[in-house]
Amino acid sequence: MNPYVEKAKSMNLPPLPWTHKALGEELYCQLATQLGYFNPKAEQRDYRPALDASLFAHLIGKASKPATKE
Amino acid sequence: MAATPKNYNANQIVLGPCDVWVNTALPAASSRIVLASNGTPDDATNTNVIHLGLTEAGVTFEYTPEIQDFTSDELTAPHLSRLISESARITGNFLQVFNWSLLEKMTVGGTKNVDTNTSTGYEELTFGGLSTISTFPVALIGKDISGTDQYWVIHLYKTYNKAGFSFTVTRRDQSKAPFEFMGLAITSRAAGDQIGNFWHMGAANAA
Repeated sequence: MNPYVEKAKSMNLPPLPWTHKALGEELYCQLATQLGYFNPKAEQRDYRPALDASLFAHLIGKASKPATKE
Repeated sequence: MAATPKNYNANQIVLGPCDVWVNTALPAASSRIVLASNGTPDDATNTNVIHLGLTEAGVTFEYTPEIQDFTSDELTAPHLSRLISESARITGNFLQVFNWSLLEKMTVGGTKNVDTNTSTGYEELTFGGLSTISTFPVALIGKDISGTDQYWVIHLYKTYNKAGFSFTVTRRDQSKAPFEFMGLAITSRAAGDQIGNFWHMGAANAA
């Protein structure tokens, strides 16, 4: 099993689309880092592509326990 | 002693046409872009994607490794080789130069302005004065030659258009402008998956 999918099960995933505009900088960076996309803090500030959520789409709105902030 | 089978397989040939998609969504680690049944990027996750449209003569993908060979005084041939650098790019000439969303991406320092007023509206691209460059993912998608509804994808995670933007206006020929999407590394992704991927749908395609 993909470790990021396992991690996503305990997160309160936001609805689509996962764009920077829809999520805001803080939530965008949190999802990008914790779900294995990339670390936005290590990239130039205008590189904020939409995050392809298809791997986690079945988990959106189905957190098994309250989301934790790391 | 048995014979070794030859690998003649027409289904392992790539034949166009294909489509270039600019500003796709970024797939997670160990994941790939999701396609709709017609081979276009899934619109639920690729909400900002731009189709490059028509090209003059198709698209070229190029992966170029730079190999450093190490030699010694004692041996006549190199005894060690290392990958020093690698570059990946998608190039061609696009025809639809009258697309302002595309132009904003093509001119790395350009900004699109739109006024949707039906009588005084306009589309505009301003440029000059920005030192940062616009980067975005680019996907090249084509249909599998096997005839099934399966597709192959070359996906560069972070690119910019190194060719800038230039086109000639002439009575004799249609507008066209070169593009060169240069793949950059995303250093926070796992080594081996920092620039992009090349994959096809379906089961493993024989040997």
